[in-house]
Amino acid sequence: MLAYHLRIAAKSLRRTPILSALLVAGIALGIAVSTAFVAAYHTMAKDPIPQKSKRLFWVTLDAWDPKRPYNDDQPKDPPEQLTYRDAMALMNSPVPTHKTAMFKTRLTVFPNSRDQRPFRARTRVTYGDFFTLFDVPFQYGAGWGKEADAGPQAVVVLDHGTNEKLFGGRNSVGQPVRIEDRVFTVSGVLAPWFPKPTFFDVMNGAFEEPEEIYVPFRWTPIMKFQTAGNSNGWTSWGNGYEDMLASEGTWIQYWAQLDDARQKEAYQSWIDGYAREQKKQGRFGRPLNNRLFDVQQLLDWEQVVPRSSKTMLVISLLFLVVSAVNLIGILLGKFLARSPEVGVRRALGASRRHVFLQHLLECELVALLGGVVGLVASVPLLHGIDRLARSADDPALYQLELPVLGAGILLALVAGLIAGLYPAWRICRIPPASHLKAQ
Amino acid sequence: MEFGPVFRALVHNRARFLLITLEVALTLAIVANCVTMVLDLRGKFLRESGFDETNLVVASLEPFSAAYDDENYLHAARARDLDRLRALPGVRDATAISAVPLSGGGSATGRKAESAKGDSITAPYFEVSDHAIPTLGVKLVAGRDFRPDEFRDYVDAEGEVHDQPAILSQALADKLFPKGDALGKRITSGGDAKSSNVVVGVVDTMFNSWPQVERISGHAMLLPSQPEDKRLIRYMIRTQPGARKAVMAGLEDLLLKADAGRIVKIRSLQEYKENTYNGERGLIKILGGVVVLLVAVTAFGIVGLTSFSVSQRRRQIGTRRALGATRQDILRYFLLENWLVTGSGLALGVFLAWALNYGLVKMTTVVGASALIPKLDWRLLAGGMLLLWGSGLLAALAPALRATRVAPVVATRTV
Amino acid sequence: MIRMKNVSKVYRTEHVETHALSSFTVDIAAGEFVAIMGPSGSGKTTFLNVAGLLDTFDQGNYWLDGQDVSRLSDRAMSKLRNEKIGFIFQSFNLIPDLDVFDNVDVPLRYRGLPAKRRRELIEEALAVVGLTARLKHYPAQLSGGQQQRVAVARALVGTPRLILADEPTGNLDSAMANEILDLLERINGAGTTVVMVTHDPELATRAPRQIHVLDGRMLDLAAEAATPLFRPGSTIGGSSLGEHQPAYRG
Repeated sequence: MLAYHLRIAAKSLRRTPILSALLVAGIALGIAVSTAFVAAYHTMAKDPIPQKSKRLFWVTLDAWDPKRPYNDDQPKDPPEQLTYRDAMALMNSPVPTHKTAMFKTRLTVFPNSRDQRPFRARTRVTYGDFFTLFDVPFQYGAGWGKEADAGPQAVVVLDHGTNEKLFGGRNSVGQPVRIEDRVFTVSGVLAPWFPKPTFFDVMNGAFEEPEEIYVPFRWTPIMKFQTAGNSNGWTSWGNGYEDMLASEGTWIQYWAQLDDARQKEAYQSWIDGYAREQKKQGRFGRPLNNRLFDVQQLLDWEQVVPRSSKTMLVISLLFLVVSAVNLIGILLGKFLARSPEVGVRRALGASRRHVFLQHLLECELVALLGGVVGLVASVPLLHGIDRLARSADDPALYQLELPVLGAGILLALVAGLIAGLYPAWRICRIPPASHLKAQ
Repeated sequence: MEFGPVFRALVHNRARFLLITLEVALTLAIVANCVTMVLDLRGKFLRESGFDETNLVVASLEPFSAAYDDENYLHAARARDLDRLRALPGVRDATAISAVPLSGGGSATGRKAESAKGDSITAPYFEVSDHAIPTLGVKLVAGRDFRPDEFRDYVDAEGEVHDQPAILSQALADKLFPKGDALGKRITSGGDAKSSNVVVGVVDTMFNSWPQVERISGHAMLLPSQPEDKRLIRYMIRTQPGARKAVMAGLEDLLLKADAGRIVKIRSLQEYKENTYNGERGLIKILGGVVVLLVAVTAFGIVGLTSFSVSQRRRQIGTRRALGATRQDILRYFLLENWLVTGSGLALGVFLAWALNYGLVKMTTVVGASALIPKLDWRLLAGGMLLLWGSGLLAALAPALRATRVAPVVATRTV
Repeated sequence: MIRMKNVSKVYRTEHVETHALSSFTVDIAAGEFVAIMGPSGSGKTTFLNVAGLLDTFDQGNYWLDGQDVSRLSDRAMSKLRNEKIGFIFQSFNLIPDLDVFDNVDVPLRYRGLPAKRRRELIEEALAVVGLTARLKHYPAQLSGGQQQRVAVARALVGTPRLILADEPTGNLDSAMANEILDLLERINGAGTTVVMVTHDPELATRAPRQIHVLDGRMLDLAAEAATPLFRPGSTIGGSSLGEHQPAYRG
């Protein structure tokens, strides 16, 4: 029976090709627009590392000005980043499974080839645990281990693009690269990697491409790395590099992996213990407020999803509603114009249910076609949104992922169902005898 | 005229007309809010920043040569660069600056009037060399420009600055000194830090590096300094009107020829600004696209409805014509029908527009910032209504004209 | 086959009540060929609609093929229509975008028969009306007479016990009309009950029994003498009861 209904529905659509095309185009437009903005929203709001997001914690310590909160608007919030000395102290905690202090800087890289000019590379200064913590994929080699975190060996990890630029994409593990005034050895090359949002450093833009090179944290005081990221202070940064490291300025980011509630509890009491210790030395003048944020809490706290994405999501879904209302109106007209045929079918034994189902199926057919066309159209649309909302040299941000495609088809079917219910109901309530007699 | 019969016919076929009413209402609600956002974003983008935006070029230099570790070399290199830049044909003036205005990246500190109680306020600043005011294009309205001897280092052993001269934007001066007596006064960092500046001048409009942060919009100050960051030197170059492109083309070579030990990047101030406003500019186009598509969809719905309404009533139209109705009467009938439907849709749409606006304002309000979308302006709503009414009328016109061509003889024909 | 007792049907609009059937009582036996006659507006089409379960009625009882159909669900009625009744209409009512085969197929589809069985039945039915050669033609490609023969085949294909024909020749010239009448007689000869509404007295005389309907009431000329069950008096008495109905129903 379903096959028969489907055939009749398809026949009915073919009979009025222009109207059907317009119906499909109308719903396709609604689906394309809403799917594109759902995809954009999903890109920004999704869990970037679902396998670990509950176990990774952004560590904060409140060593801020006793007289004034860090954030006047949210006086209970601790500073987002740590001072250098606190971060170094936290590196001594044995509690976390993995941990890293890190910051962002820009370093001059001198290509081995004479034809290439030196360039400034966006750099992440971090510990070897970084790559383990965030499941960073490698194309060649690997990150570095504890000995490079401590030892004298200077190693570097290149991202995919930088390896292309410096070594033409070859396996460069073991090759020397001059960075600033020192020669580093490549320990690994990343596979293309751009988690969205870039949750590991939302302080410096949650949707910026990750850094080009990664160097061990131990070189910070030696090579006098300056942060190129967000930094905030409430006392003077002092005069000179050593003063800066000793100051109360916050510019170091800190992550710890805590695998279960007990470990988290243990870590919380460890950092609180550290803060109490510091209080005795006259620091940490505020009430204890050292907080651990898991990935989702951090993204929420930092309000990573732009307000414009939410707004566009609402507007695009309303757009779909308008398309659906449009569809209801036209389908109603189309169905009612077909009352005589429905009368005949009723006389020949079609029940109301038959008539209702057949027409609902026709709506769903329109919606499904519109959904498929709309999904196809949403790809260039999403690309267009990406181009419009970002500068030309940024890599594409938005992705149309499988769950979003599924949601798009589901949206289409729901829109078809909602749009079809009333017209199908109206047409199945028509008394069978009313259109059988010639006028 | 024939309002009664038209209305009764509408009530008789209410389902379809209610749908169009709803569609028109939703469309008005969405269009009004989208246009509100577009106008707001556009207005902010086009806001006067005080800088000669169209003629300013930024040269960013990142030295890597070890020679720059020597402070004297750094100073000399900068002075040399500035002389060369100022001598370039098509260039009006040039200055060194610590951050690029409108670029989204810069520095800020906290300042309050020395005599004032309470907290300091955020004071974004640019450290500049000489010629800053004529280069940036900001207008001095009170006090004076920096004197040549004021471009020196003010930082003491604790990292504090003492009585460094400052030229404030009018907005910042008004905020720090509500009585308008900023000139000659000292501003301090408050709290434990002991830094201070003395206000020597005020310029009328001058934006900072974060034009989108409304809370500190228009707050900025210029500070005279010697370059201390050997890793990043920035020059701003003001060109003669129309000469920007030509000047930009030769800049990298000029600066590298002078000293190859640095990475040079040349961009116009407009590029920085556009980059900063990328999201907003994209949003403007996207919202514009949504509005156009939406009006098209709704117009298509109205065409469909009117066509159907006409084709269903061919006999009736024929009968009316046979009974003496003129073509104008028929046209009037269908246009009136359309007016009533879109009109009631627009009336409903006003409420929906307010409701949607309320929801969006609520949704996009975060602590410490205004909502992404401003409150609806009734004039804009009226404009949206006019636009939709007009589009609705246009959409109904073709099918209604087709109705006037139904011949009276249709009345007597059996189907 | 059709047994109605005091069936009443009232059409109501805001201002008027029209008594389409008033205490209508009739008994049509299986295998009969009956012509229903009467002026337009007399209620003969309403009778046909009620008899064919296309329309409901307000009062009285109706037994179709021995089954009380007074209070049936839409599904049950649809099933009865599909299995027991074949319809033939004045304006043929073929579905324009289905070809001959598919048109005749429609009732079988709602019965849910397998494809092979349907094909056999359709070919049989089209053989009866002599249109086997036009399977793939669309209604618009056929003459009026041919269209009505397709409609007859569609009515026949489900082997119904009852054929209801509403002015089946109204849109045809007399030669074609006679052809259709011949067909109906043949069908009736095979044992199917045929009820035909017409206002053409000449055609009506080809039916052995004629029933006249006037103002929603029945005048059964043949039955008056033949069957003692129905007397004019009882019919009129019943109708006077029917006239009280609106007041009674309040």
